[in-house]
Amino acid sequence: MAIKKLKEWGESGPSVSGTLWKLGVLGTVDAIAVTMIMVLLAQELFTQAALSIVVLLIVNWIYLRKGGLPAKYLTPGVLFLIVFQLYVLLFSGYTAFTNYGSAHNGDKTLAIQTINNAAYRIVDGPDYTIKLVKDDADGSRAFLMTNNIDGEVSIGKDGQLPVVIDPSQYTLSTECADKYAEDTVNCAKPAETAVGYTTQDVSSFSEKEKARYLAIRVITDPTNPHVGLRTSEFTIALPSESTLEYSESADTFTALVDDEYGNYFAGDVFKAAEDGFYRVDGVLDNVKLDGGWRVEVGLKNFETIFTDVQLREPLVKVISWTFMFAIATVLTTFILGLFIALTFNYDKLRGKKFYRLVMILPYAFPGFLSAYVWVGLLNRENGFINTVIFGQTPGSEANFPWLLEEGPARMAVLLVNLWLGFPYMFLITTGALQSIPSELNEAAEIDGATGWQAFRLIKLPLLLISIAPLLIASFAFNFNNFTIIYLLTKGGPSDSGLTDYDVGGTDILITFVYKIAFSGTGQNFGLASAFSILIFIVVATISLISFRRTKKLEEIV
Amino acid sequence: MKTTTRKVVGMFTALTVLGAGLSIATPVSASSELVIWADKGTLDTIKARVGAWDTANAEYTAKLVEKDFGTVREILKTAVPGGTGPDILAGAAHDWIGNLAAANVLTPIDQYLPANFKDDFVPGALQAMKYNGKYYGTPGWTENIALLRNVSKAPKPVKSVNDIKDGELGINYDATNSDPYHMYPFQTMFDAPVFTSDKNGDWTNTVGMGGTKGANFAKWLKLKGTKFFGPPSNAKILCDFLNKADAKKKTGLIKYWVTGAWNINAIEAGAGGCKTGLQVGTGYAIDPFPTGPTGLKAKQFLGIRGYVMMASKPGNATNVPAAVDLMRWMSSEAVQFNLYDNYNKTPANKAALNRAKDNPVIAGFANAANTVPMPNSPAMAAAWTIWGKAQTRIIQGKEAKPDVAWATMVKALQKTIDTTSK
Repeated sequence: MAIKKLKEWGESGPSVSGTLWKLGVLGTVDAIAVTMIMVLLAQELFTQAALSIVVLLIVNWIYLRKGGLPAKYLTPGVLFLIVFQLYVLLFSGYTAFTNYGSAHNGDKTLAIQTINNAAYRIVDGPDYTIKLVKDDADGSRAFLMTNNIDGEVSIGKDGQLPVVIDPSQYTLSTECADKYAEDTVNCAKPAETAVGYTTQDVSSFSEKEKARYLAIRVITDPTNPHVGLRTSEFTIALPSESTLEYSESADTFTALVDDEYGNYFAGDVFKAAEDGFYRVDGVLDNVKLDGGWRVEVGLKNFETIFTDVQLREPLVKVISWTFMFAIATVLTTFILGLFIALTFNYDKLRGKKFYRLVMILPYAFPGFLSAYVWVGLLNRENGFINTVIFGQTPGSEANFPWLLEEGPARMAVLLVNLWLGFPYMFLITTGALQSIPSELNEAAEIDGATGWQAFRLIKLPLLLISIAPLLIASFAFNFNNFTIIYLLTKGGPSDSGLTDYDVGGTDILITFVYKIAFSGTGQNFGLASAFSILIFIVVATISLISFRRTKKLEEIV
Repeated sequence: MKTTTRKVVGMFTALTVLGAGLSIATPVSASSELVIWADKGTLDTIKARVGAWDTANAEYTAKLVEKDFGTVREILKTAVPGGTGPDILAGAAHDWIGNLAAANVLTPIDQYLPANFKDDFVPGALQAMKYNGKYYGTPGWTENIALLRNVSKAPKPVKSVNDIKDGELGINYDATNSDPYHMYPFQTMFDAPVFTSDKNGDWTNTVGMGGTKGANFAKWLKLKGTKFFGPPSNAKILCDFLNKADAKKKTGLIKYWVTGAWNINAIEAGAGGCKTGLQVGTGYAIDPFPTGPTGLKAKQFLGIRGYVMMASKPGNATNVPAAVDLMRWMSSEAVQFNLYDNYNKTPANKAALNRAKDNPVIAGFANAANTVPMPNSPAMAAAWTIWGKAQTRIIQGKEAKPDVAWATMVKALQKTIDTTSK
């Protein structure tokens, strides 16, 4: 019946309501995409805009043309795959070869802007409350400046000394110079308008017009062109001195004055160094300017991993524990799961279904929830395990330090992971056991094999054929089991002596990498990405070797 | 078939045009919106005042966004260069400033402020916002720790640290990373400042806690151990400080507590299973720290929580005039007094502080203050961990030779600072 309908539909073309639905959805997608493209264009991100247009056109072509059904099904999936998988993979891969991190978190334009933002020094001298004006005579832009100390009013033009004007030539504002002054009657009031000048309204300015006023520098010392009054936010003009000058053509910063901390001197030239900082003469060991950008550093991150002495001790510790954790978890969960599966596989056991159901419960709860419950259970002073099971004094600090010292914390992590993991093993071994023909068991019994012999020589090898790949998968999963470690101990207790790296007793590689990337002591995305690549290689290699081995197991049959 | 195609194209065009129309109608970048990030505590504190500013300035819209205090600093480092950061971070701890400024996140603000603006603040408050010779923020309120004393258990202020017996002191510190901030008064009793200072009183980049003085402190830490500094369990301190002493059950023994104004509400209200709260003066007192074993005066850090302005993404200007205006508003006497009045925040504004001085809590902490600004160099984020880790290991008795461990830490710290600043 259904097939017939489908055929009819295929022959007669899409229904009207179907077409309307399609158009509605596609139209909405188009509307959103067009909005997005406009935003991208407004922000002058032309590459991204062009890319979006191309993708949008392709998507529309796919859905508006007749036929080509597979593409219609695959397109959304492929798009999401590209955005959420492929892009992420390529980006982390690329990041491993850069110094992306705290101080190198943007492009060079950003670094130049950061340096330029701070390339001034406020110098002694009066500061002014200003109004932006235009000279009626020639239309030139100027500041109508009121001295904040003595109230003297003057006109300041770019590159010129301020010209004092007579009180009869200006009118004062009714508002205080300090907008948030408590005393609004006796406060100093700045000049609002002056004869021969038109006061401008900043809120109506275009960005270009703002930039023209920001560029005004009223000189105060004819002998020193680097000192002058300028404004940064249109209400105040401060005497400041430029400390650095950027040359776009040469891509260098030149120091105009000596640094007040003695780090560099007038005339020093800062060039882009290969580590993503402007340094004196571009030499690596020389003084740098704050404000770095992301650069490609080749294999330097991998070099650090293998040669950094500070990293060696924690890394050896973390790697050995990672393997211990992954192997121990697989073994313990497998043994317990198998044991329970064998027990419940006994034909004469009553209420089997009920027991099986109970056994699966830990697997049915979300792992995040269980982990947090366990943190509470294992609390040193008032946790259930210490106070009820071991009968220790509630509230006492002498209780067993689950999670607080390295040995116990490792034990706790393994125990909790056993609790979370054995139901899975139980499930799959139960399934595998049931698929082993009972004749084999009977034959073994007739041949006089003991129960243990039958298990060891017949059931286990047969089990391993089907389960070995799952054990390998479980190993690979636990090798990167971030959740359980991070939720239980956050990788702690962190007591690894005094190294530069924040590493704890239960840190496995992936949590260690997470700390390198995101911890409070300084982000280093480059190094973390390099680590991720290495982890991938380790896990892939081990899995590959193991899968090869399991092929040999299959030859038994 | 032809007509269907035409209809299809027609509808598609209509919808696309509609979309384009909508996108033009919605402003692409709302330039008048001022985005402020703040942690929960700060947000609750400043919400009403920011709202008042918003109402008074019709041309701007202030938007407060809540962020987690523990992670916001690291988030800013990717958000600001990516163009998704705020205009202002409120409630920023001043020791973050160097770290953030070096990471392309902040804009110096002294170019936006009149020279006499400096005179509005208590000494050291604006100074704490200084990094590399420039001010990167405006102070909101100040925080310093003092020695709180339960008056019924200890009627008189303690003069020397030698007079505090094991188990009588409550101090908050982390089990692994310690808390050099709370420990600093004890460290300065040995004249071992974290960094040396230059002739202006500004911190240098040279670690100052090495040498014999630092070694003496390390040895003293080991000698006192967890018996004196207590096991690092923060939860119990409040109750043990409030409750009556019970020698049998070994509870309620804490007479002195090293803490700041942020715990005053809990002390006065009495929290959880603890007894009823205590009132300042009759129940508890706020004392200066006692002198050290050799009679040296203790110093504590002055912490400033303030407002910092974000650097804009190139070609995408921050709303500077609005941001400056809000920062000046939050620094004004009226607002700072209001924050004190409603939220017990010690004003950084001089005039507001003077008006608040009759409050015994504010006066108590001001009286107990023998402060130095907390260092704010870019390496501070890493420094706290390295420094604190060594302290904890020594207190917990994990270092057989505390002076050697301390010297190792000083060396590691200097190295970290040198690599960061170089």
